[in-house]
Amino acid sequence: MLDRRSLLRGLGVLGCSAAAHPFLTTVTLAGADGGAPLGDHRLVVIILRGAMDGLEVLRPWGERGFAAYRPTLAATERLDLDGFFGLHLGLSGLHPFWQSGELAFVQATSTPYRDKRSHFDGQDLLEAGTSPDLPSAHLRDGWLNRILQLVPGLTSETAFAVGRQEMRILRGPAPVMDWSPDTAVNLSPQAQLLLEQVYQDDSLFMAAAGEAMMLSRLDLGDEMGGLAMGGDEMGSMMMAQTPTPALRGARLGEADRVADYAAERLRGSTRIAAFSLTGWDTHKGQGKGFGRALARLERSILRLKSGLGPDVWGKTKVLAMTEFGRTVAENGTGGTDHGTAGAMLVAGGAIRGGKVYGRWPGLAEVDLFERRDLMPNSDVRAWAAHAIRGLYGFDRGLLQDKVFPGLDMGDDPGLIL
Amino acid sequence: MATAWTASGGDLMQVYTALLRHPAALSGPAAKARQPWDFLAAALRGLGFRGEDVMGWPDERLRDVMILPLRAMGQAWKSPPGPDGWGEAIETWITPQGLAERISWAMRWPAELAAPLPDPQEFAQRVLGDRAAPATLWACLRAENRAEGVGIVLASPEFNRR
Repeated sequence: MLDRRSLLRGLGVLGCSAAAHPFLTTVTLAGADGGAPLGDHRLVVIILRGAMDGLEVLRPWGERGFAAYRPTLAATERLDLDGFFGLHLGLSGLHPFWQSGELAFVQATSTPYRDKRSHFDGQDLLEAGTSPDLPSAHLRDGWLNRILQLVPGLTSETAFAVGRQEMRILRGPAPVMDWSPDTAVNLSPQAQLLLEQVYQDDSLFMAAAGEAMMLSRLDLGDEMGGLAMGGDEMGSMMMAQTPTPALRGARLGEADRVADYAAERLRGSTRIAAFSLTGWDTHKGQGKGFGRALARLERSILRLKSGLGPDVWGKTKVLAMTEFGRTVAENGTGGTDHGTAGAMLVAGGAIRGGKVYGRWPGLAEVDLFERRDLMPNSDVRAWAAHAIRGLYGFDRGLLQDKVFPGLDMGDDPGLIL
Repeated sequence: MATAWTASGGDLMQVYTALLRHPAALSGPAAKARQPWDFLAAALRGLGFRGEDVMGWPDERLRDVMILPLRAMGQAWKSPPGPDGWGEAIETWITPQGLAERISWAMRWPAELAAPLPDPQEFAQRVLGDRAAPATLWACLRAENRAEGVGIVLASPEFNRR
């Protein structure tokens, strides 16, 4: 009987015998798929882990009583957006996007998660795209993966999970590439040649190592050009563009590298990318920590735009969503606690921006959820579903049955251009 | 196993012993992967560390050598993705990201942890036994230095399959 291992050995020999550089062969095969089963549009989903305070990012300063709920937090400056909402200064770098229609917000939105206020469960639900009343079987794969399951001709590069954080939103049976740009395969040329020999007869290891080399090399840009891997075209094709003047010289943090890497992939054959930003759980002394988290979000979006270039950015939509919002009132330690409805940030050249979407519920005590949280007026999943429909033309029934089971999408809010 | 069952009057420990001592338990196609935890434990054992040694490490070292690499290899410490535990399929673990992290670990940590580093070929024979593939034995001898030779052994398919 032919066992799995000897089968793999056989395939390995067949696949690699003709090549001088077996790793490179794998790279070429992986990179040659070129096709774009989802068309030209790009979707980037950023999961803001820790429950972003929507009322801090997007301050309803036109609402009577807002300042009284937040005596210290609301007292700081903001940039006016539409006469009612003001933008936290930490996102002032995105203000030009607001003016050019490339930035929008959704206010008072949430997943169907209520009352329990656990980050983990909230994030699981957000990424599964399901509702707590559904059978748990639906909870295992992520909604971005379920989209991919509906796409014919998918390639391994169509969707990318970037960074070290696990991205449940992309987990599931459809193939998804994941890579953390902090993974550097720094091999000496000799070690690399030797490993190629060691993996020669094992096609699984050969393929994984080959792709790792390719991904790692893209990440390092032109630095690795001299290595035995060769193949200039891939490196120069994917090399990052010059950052905008505001970003030049800035030290790269992990979030920057993640955004840069996502942009590189999206300029190629990748259509969907997802990554996480953390640091939003601001129970205490919210002012400072929140500023840092916002700075990472702002830089991620700026770097995505500069990395994608005007043409691809024009076909891109970025959705930044969080597991739930935070309490309307600030607490005794200058922070806010776990709440219900929050805000979603939307950016990109493919959106109808310069607008705050969603119906504002008001802040009078009777208007609050359980008299403490902003009342959810829409389902986060509905915005995502309309985005996917607008970008990729998915059938409404398919979205409501297969991607977000049980969701009522409602009317098209017109967020996609 | 049936003999052990009848002879012992149904003592499960004796049945397991028969199972594990049977030659077939230790041969076979090695179609699965050592999970990241097993990979690290086997690598450290191969380098001569015992459980007590590792437990005696300062937190920072434990984090750099075990906890962070586990997460990067896809097996965050004590955080399986669901109640059914970690994936069994080899494709779950030998991904570009997962293998890259194993290779990086193999090339970096033995040199920082083990003094002196073992001779790569003796090391290969010790940790791989008769599973050592000729290509691995050949390659680990031709490495530029001992650290890379040991790294190649730990990155080899034989060391990572089970």
